[in-house]
Amino acid sequence: MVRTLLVLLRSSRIVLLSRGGNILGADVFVPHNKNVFYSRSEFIFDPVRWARVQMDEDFLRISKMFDATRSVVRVPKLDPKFKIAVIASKQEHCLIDLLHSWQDGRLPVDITRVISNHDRGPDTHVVRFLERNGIPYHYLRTTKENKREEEILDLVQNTDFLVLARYMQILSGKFLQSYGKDIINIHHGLLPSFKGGYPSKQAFDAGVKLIGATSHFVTEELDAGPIIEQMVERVSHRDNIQSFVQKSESLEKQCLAKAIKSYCELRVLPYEENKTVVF
Amino acid sequence: MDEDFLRISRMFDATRSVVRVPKLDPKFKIAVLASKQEHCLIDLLHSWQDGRLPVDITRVISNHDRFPNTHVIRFLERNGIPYHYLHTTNENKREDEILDLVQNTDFLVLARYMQLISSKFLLRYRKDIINIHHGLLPSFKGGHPSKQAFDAGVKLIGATSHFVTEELDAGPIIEQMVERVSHRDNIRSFVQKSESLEKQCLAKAIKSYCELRVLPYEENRTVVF
Repeated sequence: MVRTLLVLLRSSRIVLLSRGGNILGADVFVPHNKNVFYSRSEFIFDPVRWARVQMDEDFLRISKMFDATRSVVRVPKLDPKFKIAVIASKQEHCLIDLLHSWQDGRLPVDITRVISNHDRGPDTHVVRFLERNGIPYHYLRTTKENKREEEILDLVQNTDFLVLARYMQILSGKFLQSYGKDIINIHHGLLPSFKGGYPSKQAFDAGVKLIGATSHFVTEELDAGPIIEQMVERVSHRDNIQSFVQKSESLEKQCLAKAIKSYCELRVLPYEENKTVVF
Repeated sequence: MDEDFLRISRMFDATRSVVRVPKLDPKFKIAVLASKQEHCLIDLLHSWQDGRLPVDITRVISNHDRFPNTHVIRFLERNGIPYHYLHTTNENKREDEILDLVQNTDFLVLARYMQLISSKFLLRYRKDIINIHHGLLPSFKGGHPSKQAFDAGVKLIGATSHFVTEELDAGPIIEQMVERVSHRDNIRSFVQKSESLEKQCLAKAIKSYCELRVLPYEENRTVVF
């Protein structure tokens, strides 16, 4: 495995050198006792000397050489941004934080639309923001019987991944299969503690001294998919349920933003059954 | 001083009033219970020796047999602390004998003692018992929380020190600590990080308790000043 790895790195370096590239950093992870490895490299190059299409061919060749399960090449400045749709319910702190980050250029995605099962009037901050920025807002009311999944699927066809920013509906296995791409969710609790609803209240009643937030990939099982990032903050007897919620909301915003950023930088890779490698 | 504060506490109908002068009053007498895993026990003993643990360790009780040439036994002998090996089985948890041994303690410390304490014991002992759980409660209750955490793919692991109640790993939490883990961690490093957290978390809880900073609060919580 070590030899294969070194050959990979050497091959990459040879390609880079021959095309006038320069490696900035490389991250490699070899799971113990497994015959696979994960590799991520960052490099700079001269687009005149190394055409984008040529780069794809070069790395495709390397990936075939190593029988790679998956190989992704991305040039943030040249390639189209990731297209995402954001789905939210009534709680909008995460949604608003995402929108502001996006506006500030800190969120390297293309927000194609916002979908919500909560009706927002035209004079609300969110709707006015979206209008000003040309992002459609879709109100899709949900009931126990109808989760509007078909309509959501239609709307998100041309996205690269979805972000559930405190969307309080469960997505069915059928939806997940039909969509087929990654969905990142923020859970306002430190999984696997406090799955389901009102984790802040659960945490408050449990008398914990630390509360947290977890961002993870959505799977069929509620709040159980591969974890991408977790963050905590201390709480004490001086906290009431309001401050629990406030601290939690702050954590959710940071944790979700971090997960999306890592994902867009191609740092998040599925690992084993239900885990992730995050370079 | 005691009289003065007693009068004040009566004036305010205090549920509880404690006055303590660490330099004058006798140290808290404790007994430490442990099983085979001894990292917490050893850390407590060393802290105590260094004067960082302001208690009087009256005895160590364990359901794991330790030989005379083990570090723990030699340390206890050098320091005049008796070691009691009480083998436990499914049928016999030796609780009567433990109760006899801990009669004159102020509180107990379970330093990775892997036996359940029955409610009968709790009723008869009646004083506080501090436990260290090698997981971030309420996640991963019960056994092998490091393995549970590893399999769950969490990015943070922790330890929790809490008061023992009838329900396993569910008593009022005193202190919690976390550390980051990643894909680079294997089960061994999970355990190592966990052991380090357990030692710190238990020591912190005992210290807070001895400084009278920990007060029961509502049903299942604590005020920790």
